[in-house]
Amino acid sequence: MVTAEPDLSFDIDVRAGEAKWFRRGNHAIWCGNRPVEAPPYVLHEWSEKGVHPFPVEGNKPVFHRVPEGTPYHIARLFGFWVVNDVDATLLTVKRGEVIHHMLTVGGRTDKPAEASVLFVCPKCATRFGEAKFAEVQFGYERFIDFALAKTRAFNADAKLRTCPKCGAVHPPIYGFHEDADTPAERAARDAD
Amino acid sequence: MMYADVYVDEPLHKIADDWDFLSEKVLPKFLGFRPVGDNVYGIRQILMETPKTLDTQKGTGPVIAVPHRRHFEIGPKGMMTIKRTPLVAHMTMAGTPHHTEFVYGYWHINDMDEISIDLPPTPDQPGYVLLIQGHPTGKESDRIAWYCERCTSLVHMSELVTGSHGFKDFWSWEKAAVRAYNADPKLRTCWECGHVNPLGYCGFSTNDTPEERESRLKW
Repeated sequence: MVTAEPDLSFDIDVRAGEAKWFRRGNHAIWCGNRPVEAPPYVLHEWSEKGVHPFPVEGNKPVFHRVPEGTPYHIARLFGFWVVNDVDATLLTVKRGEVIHHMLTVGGRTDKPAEASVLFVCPKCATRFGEAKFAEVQFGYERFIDFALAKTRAFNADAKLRTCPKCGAVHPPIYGFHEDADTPAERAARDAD
Repeated sequence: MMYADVYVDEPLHKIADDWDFLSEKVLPKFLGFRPVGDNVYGIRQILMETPKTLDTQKGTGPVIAVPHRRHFEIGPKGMMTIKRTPLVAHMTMAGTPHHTEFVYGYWHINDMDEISIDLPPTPDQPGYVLLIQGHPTGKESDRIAWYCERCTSLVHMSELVTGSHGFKDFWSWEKAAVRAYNADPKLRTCWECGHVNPLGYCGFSTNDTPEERESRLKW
């Protein structure tokens, strides 16, 4: 039977910090929490000039937009870099002993459709190893799985971690979901 | 930090002046709606003081926490009250008519999804109401509509093709649509049950005529 049930409105509890990606309509959304005593997540953006960190300090909430096509990385949340085909936003709100985060990707019809994972040399800021995933419309978690596979291949092969410009070897990195970390990925997350 | 050696040695405000939409300098740009990149944003500050009069707490602008202000949507089961909980993001899906009482006197129907989230004030920080809606393209549109308050039949609607036209005329279109609806009792009369519906009013209460101000206090 074919039904025409409309896609109904719904809530996402940012406080719950379920740490899962939801893909509905024009946006993919992730919410996660971080205790205030833990080292904070720090958004980084890449540009031709180098890497820009966007640290959040104090109690004031922060709402930041990452433009489409800008490589970004959130230290301690994911160790690789991401390029989306549509804007992302990061909302950071401290309440009591918890810092709440809401990351959204989207805003245009039929996007996000593609996302890329890449790496940035920590010695010269060269981007390298970019790999595109073109099935984001079927769920952002699929891209996260793709990125984890690329992360593990990267960690397993020093050649893949060698900067094509300056020859520095990138240290091992980590995937998106902390609970999926291997001991080596956990160590890399903790060291960042 | 892994990338500390390649950090750009410039203050953040020089890199991107509006990198934090909630900063005091940037926030006023988002009082109405502002398209930036792939989304359209609206941000209002939640003030903590008690309103002196009822009508100072109505309309678009700084929002004073009003416990009885309700949000509505119309779905397959009819009109529903939407509970808004602080720090819970509510996604109004494209095509869903929605209305917030005392703030805008019509039903907004968007071809794009809208995410709204209330960040309540803390003892040392103001709160915010944050709205993120997708950016329309092509024939994607915004509509304002009126449904009969008795039987929920659609009585009148106006459309702006914001996908191709943009948002530059959004507020003048909104005001003209409200005024046209208010000027003609036939437009406000339900074709189904005959009920004459109350006047509409705009998102900016400064536009109110005395009659619209009166209507704003009702629904």
